[in-house]
Amino acid sequence: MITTSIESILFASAKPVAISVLKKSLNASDEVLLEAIADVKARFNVETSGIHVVEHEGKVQFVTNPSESAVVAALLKEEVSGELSRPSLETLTIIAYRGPITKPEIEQIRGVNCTLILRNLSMRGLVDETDDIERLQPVFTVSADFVRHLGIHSIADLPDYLDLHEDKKITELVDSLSDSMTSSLNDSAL
Amino acid sequence: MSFEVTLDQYSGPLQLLLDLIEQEKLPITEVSLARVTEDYLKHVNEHDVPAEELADFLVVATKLLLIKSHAILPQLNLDAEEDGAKLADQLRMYKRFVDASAMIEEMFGAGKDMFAREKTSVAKVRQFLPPKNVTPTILRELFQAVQKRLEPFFALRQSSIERVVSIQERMKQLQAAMVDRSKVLFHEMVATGASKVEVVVSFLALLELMKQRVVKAVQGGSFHDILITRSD
Repeated sequence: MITTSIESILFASAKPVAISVLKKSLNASDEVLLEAIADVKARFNVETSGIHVVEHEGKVQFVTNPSESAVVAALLKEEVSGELSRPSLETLTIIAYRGPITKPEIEQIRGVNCTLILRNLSMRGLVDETDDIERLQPVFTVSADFVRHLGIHSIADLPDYLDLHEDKKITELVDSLSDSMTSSLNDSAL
Repeated sequence: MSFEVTLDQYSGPLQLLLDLIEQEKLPITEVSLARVTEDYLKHVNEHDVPAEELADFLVVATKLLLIKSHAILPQLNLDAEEDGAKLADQLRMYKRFVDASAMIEEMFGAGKDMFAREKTSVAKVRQFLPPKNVTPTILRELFQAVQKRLEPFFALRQSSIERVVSIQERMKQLQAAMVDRSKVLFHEMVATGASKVEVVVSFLALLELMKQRVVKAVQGGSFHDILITRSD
C-alpha cells in the first residue's frame, strides 16, 4: 500500500518531506500520490489522533495534535509564543495570505518600507525567503514553523483564505501601484 | 476631539489614515480622505516620524493634498480623480489585511502548536561526500545565473555614476569659465542644441556650486536667463 509507505517515510523523517521526493522514491503517478496523501491526511487530521499531517510549500510532515500543544510544550520545555508588534503582525498576515510575494508588493499593500520588518521576521523563523527565477527577485512565504505554530494543517486553512489569496482586485491594485511607483526600484539600488 | 496616540505606534501612513477615518466613523471614500487631510498633515507635522519612513508618509500626504484640492476646485482637471480612487482602493485593501491580522494574532497566541520530530543530535564527523552531479559546466552556469541577477543592479548604479561624473565635469567647466569672466549666463553654460539631460546636468552643477558658495545666481523672473557671478 502506498499510504503505508508514505506514513513510514513521514515517521522516519525529522524534516518536512517534499512531495516530489515521495513521488520519486515511491515511483507513483501524481494522481495516485496526491490521492494517497489526501487519504493519510483524512485519517490523521482528526481530533482523536495524536499525530497530524501538515502540508506547506509542497512538503508534508508529521506533527503533534494542536490540542495537545500544552502538554508537549511542557515536556519539550519550549517557549511557545513570542510577542508580535503591529507592523510585524500586518506584514506576516500579508505574506500568509498573499505569499509567495515580493517585497515591493508587500510595501504596496502597507504603504511603507518593510525592509527591517522582513529581516526581523526572517530572523525569527516566521518567514522564508526564496529566489523567484522568473521575477529575478526574492519572494516571501510564511515558514512551516509558523504554520505549525498556528495549529493549522495548511496555510489554506486560514480564515477567508481564498477570499484574500485570489482576490483579483487586490492583484490588480498591487500590480498597478507597482507600475506607477519607482520608489521600490530606487530602494533596491541603494 | 484629540487623538492620544503618538506616531511611533503607527505601523505606517496607511494605518494613520485608517485610524483617522475610523475615528470619524466615515466610510473609506475620496470624500472622507479629503476630510481627514488636515488631521493627517497635523499628525505628521507634530510627531517625529522616523526618517526612513518619512518619505512614505509624505507620499500619502501628497496624494491627500491632490484629492483635497480637487474637492475644493472640481474644475481643476488634474489626474486627482484617478489618484484619489487609487488611494481609497489602496486603503480599503490595506484594511482587509488589517482585519485579517486580528484573526492571525488570535491564532498566534492560542497555543495550538503542532510539534514536529526533533532532529537527533548526532555528532558530525568530517567526511568527504562529493555531490554527484556537480561539474565545472554546472558551476559556470550557476555563476552566470548569479551574474544575470546582478545585472539590473549594476545597470542602475552605472547610470547614476555616469550622472554624477558628468555633473562634476560640468562643475569644473563652469568654475574654469568663472576664472576668466566674472559673469556667465546660464544659456551660455549650456551648449547650443544641448539635450534635456545636459540642461538638467548643468543646472544640478550650478546648484551644487551655489551650495558650496562658489557662485551666486540671479534670475529676473520665471523662464528668464540665470545670471551667474563669482561669490567673492
